[in-house]
Amino acid sequence: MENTPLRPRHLLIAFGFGALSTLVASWASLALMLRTSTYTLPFAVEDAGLVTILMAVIVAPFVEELAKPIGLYFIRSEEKPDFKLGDWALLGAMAGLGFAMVENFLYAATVLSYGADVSAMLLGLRFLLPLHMIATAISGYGVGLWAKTGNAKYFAACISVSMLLHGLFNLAASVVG
Amino acid sequence: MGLPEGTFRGLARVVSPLSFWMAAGWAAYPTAIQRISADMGEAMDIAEVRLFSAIMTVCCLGAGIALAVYGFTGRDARDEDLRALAKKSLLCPYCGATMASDNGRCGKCGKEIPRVR
Repeated sequence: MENTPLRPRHLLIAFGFGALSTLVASWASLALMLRTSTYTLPFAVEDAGLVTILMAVIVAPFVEELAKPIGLYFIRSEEKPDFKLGDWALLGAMAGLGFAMVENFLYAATVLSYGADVSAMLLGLRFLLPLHMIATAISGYGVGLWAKTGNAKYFAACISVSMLLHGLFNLAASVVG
Repeated sequence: MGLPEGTFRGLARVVSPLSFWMAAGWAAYPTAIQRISADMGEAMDIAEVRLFSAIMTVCCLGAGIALAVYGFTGRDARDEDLRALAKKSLLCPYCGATMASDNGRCGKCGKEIPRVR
């Protein structure tokens, strides 16, 4: 049986929804942290630094990795395409690129007070490290395995790996700066 | 997880160039950080960042090479083998038996099973 060819509109959908998911992820991360930290953590989080690290290492990877492949869930449920597994990874990478574009621009905008040069350099610096593309390519591959086998456990395994990778990266960034 | 051999070759082919991109990024990271902190007027001890960046550059390069070798050699897993994993868990809608055959008919009651993708 022939595989469904990957078309530019699929890449565009993945990219667009990846970009939109930045808003979902930022609100969800904030809400989750504010609503649950009081009840679920065995200690009171009063240290602002610790809250930032917890957000970066646990909450953000969990929420963002679930939100980024929204476009892929949409394609899978609406079209039920039979892409090659590598195509699903490519769609995931595009969703990651869309997410990174918006997140990086928002991040660069927060330091505009230091001047446009610093902001532009920071934007460039963040594009040097394509973490979101790698992590979402793994999640996208999981969506592909799920679509082909009908078994969601492969998707759960892949998205867990991408969450772990994202969390470790954020931990390293928090420690080293 | 019982997946056929070569299942992850497609992923390796996509992630391998991204790993090289990441390695290049980590190699340039200390210089970029130094310039940004200088422009922001903040003094920063760059030695720790340099060490960490060097480690990350080597790790990402190694991962990129390993993924390229794995991804571009050998065969991908066949779609039929992957779909077979789903068939194992299918139940016949008529008699409830686990489907043993993959020719579109239930192995127990012999009734035709509608194909669901």
